[in-house]
Amino acid sequence: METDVVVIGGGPAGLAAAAIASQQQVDVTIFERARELGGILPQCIHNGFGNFIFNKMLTGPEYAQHYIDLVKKLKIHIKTDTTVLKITKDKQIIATNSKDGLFKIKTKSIILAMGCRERTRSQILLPGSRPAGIYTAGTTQRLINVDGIMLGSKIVILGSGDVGLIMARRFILEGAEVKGVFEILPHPGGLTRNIVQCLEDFDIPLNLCHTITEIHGKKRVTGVTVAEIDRSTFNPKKGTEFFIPCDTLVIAVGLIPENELSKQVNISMGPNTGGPVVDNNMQTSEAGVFACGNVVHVHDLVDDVTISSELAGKAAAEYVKNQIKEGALKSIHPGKNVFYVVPQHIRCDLKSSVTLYFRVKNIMKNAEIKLTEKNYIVAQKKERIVKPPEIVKIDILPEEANKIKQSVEVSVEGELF
Amino acid sequence: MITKKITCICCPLGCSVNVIINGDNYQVIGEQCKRGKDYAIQEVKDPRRVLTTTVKINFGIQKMLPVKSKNEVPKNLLNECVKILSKVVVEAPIRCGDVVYKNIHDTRIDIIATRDMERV
Ligand SMILES: Cc1cc2nc3c(=O)[nH]c(=O)nc-3n(C[C@H](O)[C@H](O)[C@H](O)COP(=O)(O)OP(=O)(O)OC[C@H]3O[C@@H](n4cnc5c(N)ncnc54)[C@H](O)[C@@H]3O)c2cc1C
Ligand code: SF4
Repeated sequence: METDVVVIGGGPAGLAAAAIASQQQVDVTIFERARELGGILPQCIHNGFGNFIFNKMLTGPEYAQHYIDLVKKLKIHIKTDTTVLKITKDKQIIATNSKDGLFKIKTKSIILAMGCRERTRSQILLPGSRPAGIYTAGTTQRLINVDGIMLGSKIVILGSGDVGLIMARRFILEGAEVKGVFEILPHPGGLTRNIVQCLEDFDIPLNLCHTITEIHGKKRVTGVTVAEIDRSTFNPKKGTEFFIPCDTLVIAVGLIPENELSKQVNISMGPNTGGPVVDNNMQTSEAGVFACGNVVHVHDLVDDVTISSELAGKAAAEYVKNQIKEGALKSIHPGKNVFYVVPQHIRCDLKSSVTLYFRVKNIMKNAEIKLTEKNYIVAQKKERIVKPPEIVKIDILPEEANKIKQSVEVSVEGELF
Repeated sequence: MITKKITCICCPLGCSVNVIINGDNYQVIGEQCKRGKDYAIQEVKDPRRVLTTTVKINFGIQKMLPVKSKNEVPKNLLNECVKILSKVVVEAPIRCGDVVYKNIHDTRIDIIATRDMERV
């Protein structure tokens, strides 16, 4: 079997990349592990998707439906229920499904779009026995919204990431009682919109600087011990512990890019993103291998996923047709108060502007964002506020990008909040 | 006279806004722009949200069908509307946008499917 472009993952990233590549007249094959296309969107039934691209708030399933309809109209080979197990440097893909068993396919280009998975209890070293009733937030979302299974009646949520906040509201509307959300950091992990519409709307308490120190229960969770955190040492403060009875603990402590496959071909990984290092075409360190969506870094908005995945799809098709332009590699580094920046490289001669996506380390007001090479300012802009949970963007004009000699740094200065 | 505290969600700044209600008179304090003022008054007068939930579906490739209210419903009716919809059962196939429940809770707002669901 042979194809031009293999897309691994049929979430919003894979769908957008596949559609654009196919529109450039190359042969595209999507492999999706799940039964259906759409990635995590079919379970994200709330609205809040597509404000940027469609100019209206859609639900996750509606957003997915748009791109599913699009790929189905194009001549794209779609293999659902099919897991990719291995990729090789000479671009062989080994995949498996119940119908074809284990099979191999040769391709000219690969687009990695595997999304991310949730951090689990063991990754945050949460002590206690292993009773039933402990779930990650995304699992509760799938069980309730797709499978129609109600999980408990007294809920405690650990972590204030968006998935946890959205599930807090969902549990309440399904008739459960949410005892509280506990966040170890002094600021919430999710978007303000979700704090307001998921917690404040339903009077669910958000406890910052708190964590769970013990899980109680033998067969099923019976409660948790919560304690306040010392802001400097991050250790629980003695004497602040209290017990909360509950039958369900939801862990919403964030997502990590799913990169087992990327590592098989020794792709360079970004230090703070957890995903492959990419250039402005979303090409990884391995020629012809592209990456997009949550596999590159965790996005808060699906619109950004779609936009950068379209770049990957277009570039993959150009690679297949030997049309990709590769100028000198210039690097982009995170500077003051910046946690990471994507893409990490640009290859000039650019014809159009490049958007850089970055995350800040602290909340800052009246922030001045600068992109500099030594003393030369390549781009700058002001934001009234920047926050770690919300991606910040800055554009580089092509004429400025082409002036970069070696490397530029993104830095943010402002008033700490 | 009562004061209500609202967090404005119209932009990432997330201003804390107080609305002082004096009969028909609304005074807004703490907002940083007109959008925030309008939002805060709307939030105090008649807060509304798009309702999203699921209904049971028979013969579909999944057991639950995601749905939403075509327009925003009053916030205080969200719970009641979800209760009504928890008793609704539809049958596949369904197209994204199909009405699954008309005029929920006498709001004249319809509930529509938010995805296609093929029949198995
Ligand atoms: C709970 C939650 C709420 C969100 N809310 C919002 C919101 O309100 N607004 C908004 O704009 N964004 C929101 N987002 C973000 C947005 O949904 C994501 O950024 C987006 O879905 C990422 O798309 P993706 O295609 O990269 O990953 P995914 O959607 O995760 O898709 C990846 C796909 O790859 C498949 N896959 C993985 N490995 C393999 C393999 N080896 N072989 C075959 N297939 C594989 C997976 O099965 C999956 O279908 C939310 C995210 C979550 C989790
Ligand atoms: S009041 Fe204006 S500036 Fe403040 S959060 Fe609302 S929209 Fe933003």
